[in-house]
Amino acid sequence: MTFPNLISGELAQSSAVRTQPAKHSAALFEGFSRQSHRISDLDHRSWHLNYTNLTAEEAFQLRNFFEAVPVGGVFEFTDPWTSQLFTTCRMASPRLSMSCDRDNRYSVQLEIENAI
Amino acid sequence: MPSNVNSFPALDNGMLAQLPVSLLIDDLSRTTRFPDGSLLGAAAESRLRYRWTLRYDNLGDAEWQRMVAFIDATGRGAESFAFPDPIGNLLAQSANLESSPWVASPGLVVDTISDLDQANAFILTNSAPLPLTLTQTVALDGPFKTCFSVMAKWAGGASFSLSLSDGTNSNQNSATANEWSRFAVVLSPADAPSRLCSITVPANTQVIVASPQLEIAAAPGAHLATGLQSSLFPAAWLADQSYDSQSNAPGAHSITLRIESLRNR
Repeated sequence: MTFPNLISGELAQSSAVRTQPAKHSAALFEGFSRQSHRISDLDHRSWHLNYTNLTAEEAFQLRNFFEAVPVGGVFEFTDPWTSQLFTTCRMASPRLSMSCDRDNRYSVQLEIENAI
Repeated sequence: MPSNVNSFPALDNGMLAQLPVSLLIDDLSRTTRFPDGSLLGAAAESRLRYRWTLRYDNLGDAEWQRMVAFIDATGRGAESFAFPDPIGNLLAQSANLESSPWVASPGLVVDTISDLDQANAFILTNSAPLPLTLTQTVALDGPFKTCFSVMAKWAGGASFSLSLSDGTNSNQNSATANEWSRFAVVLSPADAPSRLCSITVPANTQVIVASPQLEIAAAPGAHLATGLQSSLFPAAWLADQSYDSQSNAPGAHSITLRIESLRNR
């Protein structure tokens, strides 16, 4: 499966947010000393995709895609910032939010991540 | 009042909702996330929860009373009701006209055809000396204004017709397909328990069609492809067992409904 493109050919709008969490735990001690240890050094990243002013076709494509991805299913997604292809992405959040305004313009929010 | 008090009420203009409409789709599959970020899901429990928020403003007295009567009839969330997604396609298998619940008249051949401009296109061939139809019946209960539309084309032009019927009233639109374009027929609001959508191919004619859609609307909207399940949810209920109502002036009422339904993925 491949994440759907917008009519413009882009995958995301400028309001998208990319997150690359640090996978370590940290403890702060008295005297401000700090101890941390790495849990994983895998390249985990997620994209919070926030679309506005979509046409109905674009919104329905995203909705159909969200509904079609099976549990544990992965798909391809190209990082909009680096154009790096991630072949095993999945839904990071179990929620798709969608609304249609008075002018029949749609907004859609969803979050995906690379599966590690 | 509709004949079935448990059918979702229509507005005076035959619509189900006012815009804006918002929809949340939640994946209820049980998943476990491990400290390294990896995720384990239970595929056997793959359900989606749909939650619509419908805001109605400036409802007239009669519209408001219909809404309140409906809410009371459903026990303020205790009983379920059929709910058509106001931004969905009420036809099932819109991308596969060869499968049930589409019914082709004996003699009408439905075949897939690859087309560069349109995914999931089908060619309807009628070699018989009389018109034949491809139909689907939708259990849409209520006095809604409905629009049945389909993309169609045929080089050199081919006549065909679309019809929409609720058992008592019907409307038909005859058209000639050339390049891909969307053709539609609209049926005025009438209280009926179902709608019959038909594509009629005249004798000894072929036509290529794709992306059929039935929606509660006065004109065709964008196509939402459907599979086995249409956007008609047979069991929905009022979320939170409550609704918000406000009367800003005599004859100007507002209601906010939150409606939920579940379905397997």
